[in-house]
Amino acid sequence: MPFDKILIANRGEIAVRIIRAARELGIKTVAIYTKDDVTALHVILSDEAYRISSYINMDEIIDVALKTKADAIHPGYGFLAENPVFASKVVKEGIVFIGPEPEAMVLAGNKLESKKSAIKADVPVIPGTLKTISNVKEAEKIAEELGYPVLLKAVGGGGGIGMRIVRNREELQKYFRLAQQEAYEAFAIPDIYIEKYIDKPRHIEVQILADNYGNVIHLFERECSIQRRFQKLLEEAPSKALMWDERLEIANDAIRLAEKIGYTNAGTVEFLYKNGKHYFIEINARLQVEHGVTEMVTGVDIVKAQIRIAADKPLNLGQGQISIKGWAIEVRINAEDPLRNFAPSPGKIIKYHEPGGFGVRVDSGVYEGYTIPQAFNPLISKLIVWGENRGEAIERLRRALTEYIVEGVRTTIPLYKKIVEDKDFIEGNIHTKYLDEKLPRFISELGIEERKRIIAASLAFKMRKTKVKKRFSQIRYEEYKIPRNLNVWKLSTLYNNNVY
Amino acid sequence: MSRRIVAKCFNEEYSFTIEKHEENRFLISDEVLGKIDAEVKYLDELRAEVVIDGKKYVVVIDEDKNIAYVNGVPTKIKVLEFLETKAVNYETTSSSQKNNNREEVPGEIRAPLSGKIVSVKVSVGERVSKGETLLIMESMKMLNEIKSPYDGEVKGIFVKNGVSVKKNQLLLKIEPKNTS
Repeated sequence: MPFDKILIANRGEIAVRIIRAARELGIKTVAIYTKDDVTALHVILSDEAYRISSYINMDEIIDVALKTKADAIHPGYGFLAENPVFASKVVKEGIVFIGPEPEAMVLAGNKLESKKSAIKADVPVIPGTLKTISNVKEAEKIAEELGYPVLLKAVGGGGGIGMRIVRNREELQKYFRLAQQEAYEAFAIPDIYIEKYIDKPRHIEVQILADNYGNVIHLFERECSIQRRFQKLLEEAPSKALMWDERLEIANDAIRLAEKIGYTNAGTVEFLYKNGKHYFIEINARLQVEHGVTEMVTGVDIVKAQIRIAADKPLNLGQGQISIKGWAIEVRINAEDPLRNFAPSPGKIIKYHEPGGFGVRVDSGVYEGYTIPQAFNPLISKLIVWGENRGEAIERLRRALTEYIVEGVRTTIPLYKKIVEDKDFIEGNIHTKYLDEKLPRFISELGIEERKRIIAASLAFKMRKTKVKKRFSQIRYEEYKIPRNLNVWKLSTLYNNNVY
Repeated sequence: MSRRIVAKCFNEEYSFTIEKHEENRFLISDEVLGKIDAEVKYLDELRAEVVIDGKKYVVVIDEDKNIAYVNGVPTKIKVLEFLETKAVNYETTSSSQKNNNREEVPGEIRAPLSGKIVSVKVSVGERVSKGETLLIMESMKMLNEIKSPYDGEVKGIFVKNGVSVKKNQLLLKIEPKNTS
């Protein structure tokens, strides 16, 4: 048993995911929660739970870890996951941080420094500058050399924030200052660098695991080309675009980079891929949302691996033991309304049924009767399917989506039902602009159902003859109730007594 | 006899007309869906089964919040208009000539009667052709379609959905254009 107890500095499905890994390893879990999350699933499933003011309050979180005598903290993704200050503070208190060293986070957070490291490791990068560009004249000269279109990127940016496509000289003159200003406002660093813009690439990333003894292995790649505004919505492993030699080349590039920078724990090296060429874009120094597809095709539990590595254990797997079996696809079920520009749709889940059966996995942070708070990101669960090959995985995803019932909030499920029927998706003709191109059609098709729903609702509202005596609250769907004001210590008891 | 329903759903307006066939059976005319059959059956005061085009929709109404759960999909809805309509169409050229003394200015579309704007069907910059419905207004519990007197381009819209207008009030400006 590497640790006795770990604290999970996160919420939602990822906190549940980590609780599960810990429990299987015989490790007790401490959850934290805020006022909006009293009834959250991670609170119910953990061994202990403590209320804090916010998921990014470092001192409070460390305080809970110290008081509960947690040996380690797992940050999940988002919140404090890539915050080197937090990681350092945790270590300073004698608690193990389950993740990379703070130095690796600093490097990963600086896009230009990451790029320099990639070049040093002989990993191909997108053609462009290696220094920040401070004036328009210089920018023009570089853009001419690279050839338009080019991308202006903020050094402090990432995840699609702080980027601007410039298609000609006039646009460059117009936007350069603005890009600097935006970069300063968003990241407090006005520094800009320039890269060649690659049109409609695929997004391919390599999962790596590295222990504290210099062993680095890869778990092959994931393809995450289906995105909206740089937010991934559907991911798969492996990628249909790669031939075996390319696959190994990209994976080995990722390993070389990780070795060069002395990276430890789990991480992801992201690439763009087009016409048989791949280009490094960034390192993600954390566990990623989409790690599940890799687990499904390699059989490796990445969260358990993270915990073991953090406990100073050497990797119990060699590269030779890692292979890809079958195909996995994940869709992110968000409480968002695809018909209304993906507006968040918080509220109570009045009916909930997860799909099941062979090859279906649901990593969820919700349950029937749970109210999705407004305060957090809209991801409610991840539906992950495995199939013998891509075709079977798609068929299984299609089947699982029809079984997935989420009532009371709007979700992205209807959108995925459209994607799995789309010829280009089925054939694997995808790129990072795929969804931008397809959305108008998907939305108009979904709009037809919406019109029928509106007609049905209008008729129901207006045609009834009897006056309402009953109130909605009296006939509301069967409610799963967590007693109000119940203290959280008792929530665990409730769970153990199988009341849940 | 048909009725027009205007429903506001998540701040967008949807309108369609319904015609009663027999008890609980209706013929719906919708600009997107065309003509479709609908049948309404009440399960209790707050729940109904609506069959549209052969597909069943279970509607649960939460009137307090103006939300209907349609097969579980929360649909924020407010039914704004529920009117009996007779097909009275005012062609602005003829009606305004008859109904007012004002000199007609070419390109100006004015209200033939006082009433309320139910739905503006065009937007600025849009090309319209003669006879095309520009907006729908309600006067004395009747819906009137204001149609374009000529081919042209919408240059200005001076009213919006839900506002009350007086007789002769300027509604739209349309620059006449020959379609070639």
